[in-house]
Formats: sequence, C-alpha cells, structure tokens
Amino acid sequence: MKYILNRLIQVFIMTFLALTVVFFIVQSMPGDPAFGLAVSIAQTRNMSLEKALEIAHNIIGYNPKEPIILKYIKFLKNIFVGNFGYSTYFKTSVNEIIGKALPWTLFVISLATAFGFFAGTTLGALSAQKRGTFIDTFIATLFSIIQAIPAFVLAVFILFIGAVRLRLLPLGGAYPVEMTPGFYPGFILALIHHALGPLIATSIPQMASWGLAMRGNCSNIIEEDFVRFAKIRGLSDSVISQKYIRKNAILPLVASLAIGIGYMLGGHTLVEVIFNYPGIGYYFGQAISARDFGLLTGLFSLIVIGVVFATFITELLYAIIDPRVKAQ
Amino acid sequence: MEVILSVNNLKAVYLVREGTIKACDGVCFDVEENTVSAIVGESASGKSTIIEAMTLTLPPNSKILEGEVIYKGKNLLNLSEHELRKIRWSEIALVPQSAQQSLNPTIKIIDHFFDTIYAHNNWKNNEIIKKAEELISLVRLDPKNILYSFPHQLSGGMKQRVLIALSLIFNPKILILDEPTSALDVLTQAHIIQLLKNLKKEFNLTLIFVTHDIAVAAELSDKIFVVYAGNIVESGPTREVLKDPKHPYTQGLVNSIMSLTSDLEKIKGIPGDPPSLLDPPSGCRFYPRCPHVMEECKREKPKNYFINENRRVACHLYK
Amino acid sequence: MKEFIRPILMNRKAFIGFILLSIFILMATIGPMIVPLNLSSNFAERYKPPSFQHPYGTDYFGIDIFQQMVHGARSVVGLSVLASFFAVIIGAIIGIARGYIGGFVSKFLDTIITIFLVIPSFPALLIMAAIFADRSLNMITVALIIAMWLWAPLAKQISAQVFSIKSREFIETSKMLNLGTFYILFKDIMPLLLPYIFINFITQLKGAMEFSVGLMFLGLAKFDPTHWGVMLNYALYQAGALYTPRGFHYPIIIMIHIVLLIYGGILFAQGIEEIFNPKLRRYE
Repeated sequence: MKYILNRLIQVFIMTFLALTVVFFIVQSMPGDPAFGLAVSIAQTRNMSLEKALEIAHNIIGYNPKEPIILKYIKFLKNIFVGNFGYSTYFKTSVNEIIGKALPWTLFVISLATAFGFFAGTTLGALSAQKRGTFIDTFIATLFSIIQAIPAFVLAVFILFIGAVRLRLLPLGGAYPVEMTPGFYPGFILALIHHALGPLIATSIPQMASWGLAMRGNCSNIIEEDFVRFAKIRGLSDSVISQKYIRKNAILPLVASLAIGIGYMLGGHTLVEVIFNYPGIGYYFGQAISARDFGLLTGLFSLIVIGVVFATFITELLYAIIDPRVKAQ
Repeated sequence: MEVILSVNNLKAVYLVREGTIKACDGVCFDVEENTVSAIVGESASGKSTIIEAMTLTLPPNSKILEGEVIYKGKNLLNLSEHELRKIRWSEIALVPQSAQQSLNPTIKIIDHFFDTIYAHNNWKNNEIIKKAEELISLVRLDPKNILYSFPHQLSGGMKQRVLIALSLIFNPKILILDEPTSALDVLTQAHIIQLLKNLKKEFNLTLIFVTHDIAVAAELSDKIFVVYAGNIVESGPTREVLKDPKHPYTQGLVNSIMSLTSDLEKIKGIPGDPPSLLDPPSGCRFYPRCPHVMEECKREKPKNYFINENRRVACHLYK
Repeated sequence: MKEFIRPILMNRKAFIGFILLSIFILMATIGPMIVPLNLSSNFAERYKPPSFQHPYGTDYFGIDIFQQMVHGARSVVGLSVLASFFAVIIGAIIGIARGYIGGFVSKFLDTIITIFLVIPSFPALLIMAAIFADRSLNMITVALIIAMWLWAPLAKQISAQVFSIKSREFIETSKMLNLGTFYILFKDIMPLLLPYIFINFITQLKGAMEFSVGLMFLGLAKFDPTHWGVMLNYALYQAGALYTPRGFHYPIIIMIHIVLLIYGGILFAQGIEEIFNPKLRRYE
C-alpha cells in the first residue's frame, strides 16, 4: 500500500515534468496561436484584424503580453481541472474534440491490441515449442518481415488494395454519414466495416511484436529446470505447455498490455490520418497541418498523461498477476 | 539381497557443436533392494548423465547409444512412452539436481501436487490435499504454510524437501536423487541427510544418489560407485572402499580427503586435470594422471576385475 | 577486419542483411553519380509501366521513378544513418554517464531519460517538425530532431549495462590501481559496450527510417523532393495514383523499397546479435 502511494506520487511528478516539456515545446512554436482564429473572425464579422485578435485572445484565454511563467501556471492549472484548451481551427473546446475522438481511437486500439496479442502470443508460443521445424521458420520469418513494415506503409497498402482497388473498405469516417448512431445491428456492422482498415493496419504489426516477444520468452522457459522436472514427473505435454511454459512466458506480456495501449494513443496518428478515421490521431494530424497550437497542446497533453498512467497501471498489474514480482 | 535395478553397458553421449561428449561410457552396476547407493565423482565426470540416462530424462541434445536398464525383468530403455510414464514417478522417482529452479514459479506448491497426481491417477481433490499435507509434514515442514506458498517464498532447503515430498506421492520403490545436498548450507545438509535416512526406513525405499561430496556418501550410503570420466572405476560397500581403496583414482581421492576437505571440487590431491570428454584418452581414461601407469593402460580399456564378491575395480593392476 | 567480415559471411541472416544494406548504400552513394535525374514533367509519358527504358515506370508527371528512387535513396539512407548515429551517440553518452557517475547527477539524468521515455516519440516529433517547418531545413537538422526522440530507450539500456559491468572484478582492480576514470571508461567499459552499441545503431535505423518517412509523408520537413516519404505522399495525395489503375506500380515500388531497406537492417542486426551472443543460435 505504501509502495502504491509512493509510486502514485512519482506518477504525479512525472506527469508534471512531462507536461512541462510539452508546454515549452509548443511554446517555442512561432506565431500567435490565435492568429488563424482572428483572421476568420475578421472575415466573418467584417472588422479589423486587430480587434479580431483581441476577441480571439479572449476566446482561447490567451494574452500575448502575459509573462511565460504565468502562461505556464495557467496551463498546468487548466490541465489539472481537466480543461485541455481551445481549438482555433475547429473553433471549439479541445475537451469536446477529445470527447468525440477518444472513443474511436480507444475502440480501434483496444480491439487491435486484443487481436494482436491473442494471435501473436499463440503463434509465438507455437513457434517456440516447434523450434527448428518448418512452422517455426515460417512464423519467425513472417513476423520479422512484418516488423520491417511501418504501420503507415501497411495502412497505405490496405487502403490502396481494400478501399480503392477492391472497393471493399470505405475511404474514411467512423460510420456512414447517412446513418444515425445507435445500438442496432446495421449500425454496429457499419462501425466494424469502417474500423476494419485501421484495425488490420494496427493489429498486424502488434501481432508480430507480441509474437516475437512470446517466442523469445517461451524459448527461454522451455530450457528451465522446472519444465524438465515437470516432464520427469510424467505431466502430459498439454499441461506442461499451458501451465508451465505459456503461463510463465505470457505474464510479463499481459502486464505490458496497458503500456502498449498507452503508447498506441500517440503511435496511431498516421494510421488514422491515412484512413481518415476520426480518432485522436486524425485530429492530431489536422492540428499539425493547420498549425492549431491549442489543439496540439491539448491532445499532446492527453497522450502524455495517458502514457504515464498506462505505465503506472502496467507496473501495478505486473505486481498483482506475477507472483515472482510480488516477492520483491 | 535382491537386485532391483540392473544397469548393463550403458552408453550415452551429448551432441554439441564441437563434437560428441562421451559422458557415460559403458557403465554397469546393480542396485540391491532397500539399500542406499552413492554415485560419486567430480563435477563433469558424467555422474548425473548416468542417472539421467537410466531414467530416460536426458536433455534433448543427447543420445543413448546402447545398454540396458533392467527393472522387474523389463528393459526400461525399450519401453514405450506410455509404459514408461506409468513406471516413472509411481515406481521410480527422480529428484533433479537444481532443486532451486525445479518448481514452477507461477503456481503454488499445492498445484504441483495436483498436477503430478492428475498426470497418473484420478484422485479426489480432498484426497490429494490430504496426501500433500501428510507428505509435507513428513519432510518436517508446516503444510498449512508451505502448500499455499509460491516457490520463491521458500528457502533452498525447504524447496529440496518439497521436491522429496513430491517424489514420495506414489510410494515409489526407487528414489533417485541428483546432488540432494549441494547448494545448501551445512546445517540444512545434515537435516536432509537425516531426513533421507528416516524416509528410507519408513518407506522401504531403495535410494540412489549422486554427489561430489565423499563425506555425504560416507554418511548415507551402503554402497559406493566411483565415477571417473564417464566410467565407473570402482564399486563396493562404502566402508570397505573408503577404508581400503583399490583404484589409483579412488586412492587419490581418499588420500586427499584425509588431508583437508571432503569436497571433491576442491581436491588438488591428484596431479593433472580430468580429461575432456569430447576427446577422452584411449585405453584407461585415468592413465595420464595415474601414478602406476603401464604400457597397456594406454592401449586397452581395463575390464572390471572382482577383488571379492562385492568389490569391483576397473584397473589393469588387478588383472 | 578479417575477424569482423568472416562471421558475417558465415551467419545467414547477417549475410542477407548485409547484402540488402549494401545495395541500398551503393544506391545512395554511387547511384546518383551514375543515374541522371530529370525532373521535368512529360505528360505524354504519364504512368508508363516498368519497361527497359524506365525500369520502374513513370509517375503522374511522366518522370522516371527509378531515377527518383536512386536520388531519393541518398536522403533516405543518409537521414536514417545520421539520425540513428546521433541517437546512439546521445544515448551512449547519457547512458554511460548515468550508469557510471552515480549520486545526484545520475538521479538527474535518470529523470531526463524517464521524461523522454514517457513522451510518445512520434507525436513529439511531429510537433518539433511543425515548429521548424517554416525554416529551411537540411539533413543534419532533421536528423537531430529525429534523434532527439530516439535516444532514450538506448540510454536506459546502456546505463543498466554499465551498471553491471561496473561491479565486475577487473573494474575494481583498475580502481585499486588508480588508473583513472578516463582509463576505466575507455579501456575497460567501452570495449564491452561497443558490440551492443553497434547492434543498437542498426536497430535504431528502423526507427529512424519509420520516423523520417512518416514525417515526409505528412508533408513535414520536405527538404528533398525525391525522399521516398515525399514520393509516397505524392503517390497518394497529389498524383491521384491511388485512383488510376495505371498508377498501381508507383506507390507499390516505393513501399517495397522502404520495407526491404528496413528488413535488411533488421536481418543484419539479428545476425550480428547472434554472432555476439551465441546463446541465441543454440538450435539453429
């Protein structure tokens, strides 16, 4: 318990430091963050740019004359109360965008991770247990080739073949615009149909990396004395494979699932951009190309907080599920 | 006394990159019922290989070339996997050397009992728990505590005892132990030795154990087999062999023990180093270090010569 | 040198990886000298399939794809190698310092490493690139920006290695002999770390490649119009290659090159690792 409290304090310090870095990186971006908004205000309301800038500054709560340290404190305070800022490009609060986008991203990355983890660990264990056979060579080679394919190259390929050539997949969106969201079979099918591209592009590389990790873990464990002793005791191969080899190999991986999902929040950007899938990464891409500093800061802060907490959860999970760690 | 296990001309090798390691080269010995036999030798002399080959538990990169292991009129080496599984553990149990790493770190001790028993019989769960508690108390541990612990929560001596308890589940006829006392402190060693003595009486066990520690062999065994470079060079009743060793290697061993330590790993009494088993000397494998070396030792592998009814020496001196 | 080449020829993975990498390195170094680059558009030649005259065919503007790939290789390979090199240097220096010095400095460096580990690299890289996007960039600045987000895991691993090496006997001996920090670092510790650092350099190539191509693909830091990432961006968005059946070969060729280059690096790194760590090849 004391350990958890200690770690929690560390997590807060870490979040604070990481957010500080985020703040200063974004601060070093050139230009007035409200400029884009001001231009559009000036155009729509037909007023001088100067005046529009003032209004824009008010909307996003930004004061150019404010010293940087005050801005910094305000930024931290806002994040602390859960206010991620204002998007000048979409002209709405970042919280609203997060509310819209985060579910899609979480939907895709959790499904993709679940599939990638399941398929990867199963095939990886199989490969290790059939070491030296054709199956092993096949799986290991396949996985290392997949590792050489960046997720976005795979995404382009899937989009190219699936959506453009074969016209099996949609070209963007999370569901068809003409449909009303709800819990009915047609809509759910459409959801899956639209998520399929990002799902495949995300889960295949995941499968390969979980698979190679599992293969490595299993190959080490097969040589452990306790596996040999289990054979000596006459245990059946299936019990040894499940309870003695796979269980020991998979526990550390299960724990790192959380951290994987945390990093996916950020690593998913290009895939979502390519598939026009309206998740966090898509908006991140939009913010980059529109130079929407408010949105960038907000999303980036969210991703960083996500990763820090995922790391924390991973550690806890590891201590809970693996008796070897609990001892220390 | 009746012979319960008989090993004849057992040959086993390890296949490695550099060639074949001839770790067990034509080993013959008999084990009598209800006795304690010690197989002693330096590390890497092939003593563990002998018992692993006997029980067909060698690692995958090894091969048994020839020989037979007769138990109850059947050659164990010819049995099918199924028949072997029946005998293994229920009649012949083997406790491996690395007690510290031989338990699955992610399951509790009680689950080791469940897994082992399920593999052979369908007992009811409460029967299994009762048996496990009984055996754990038998090895002088507290069942309430131990059975629901994970392996890493136990000390080295405790783990060794758990392994012994596991090996007794089906009241085996023969219990084979590989270095039961190595990696334990002296006090724990004494406890384990005492425990084995008691168990032998209580269960009518035939014990075979491997050790590099002559003192342990002297303390526990009735009969001793001295291994040098994959061969048994001398065998006989423990007291006789240690009192009046015949083979020059045994003589060297015993002399050096008298001087200081009983630990073979530390012996410097015999000049020279044990040979590489990748490319062992021709003839008698001990000849390069032997003070009585003769011309024929280099050419011909010595046969076993009987000194008396119980004692055997593989040395040309006793032709 | 001989001791270095021989094991590479003996190990299948290292050998194939070496060949693949060599092809791309030759493409990047000698290639541009042999193959001319003609970037003037010729719409009559648009989307020609691979032929003798155009080995990889032509793109939307009728420009030879092979010429572009060869000239792009220079910035792709150069950028990845440079970024990976910088990352390894930063990672090694910080990692060794963190592992060797101890005390307050070590704590401070540890915090820095952890911060960089926690901040997801790719989004951070995108923001950095966006910051510098309007300034003129060259290969070295882009490589530095990429390296900034690659070094942290390496620093962490190296500091752990140094930590374990530090407590070995011969280091104690050197300390007792008062041989000085400089001697210990460069004569005792460095030789043990070098293979490890070298493997990491090659492994980092994958990250550097992915990052640089990803950046260019998003239209950031475009300092070279023939960089494969930029080409992939054109292939997808500007030239509409996706939507014309005739343009099929354009993006596919780029993708194959990207994947082969990374695969070469992975194979080479795996092979080298097996050579230095024989435990890995036990059953092969």
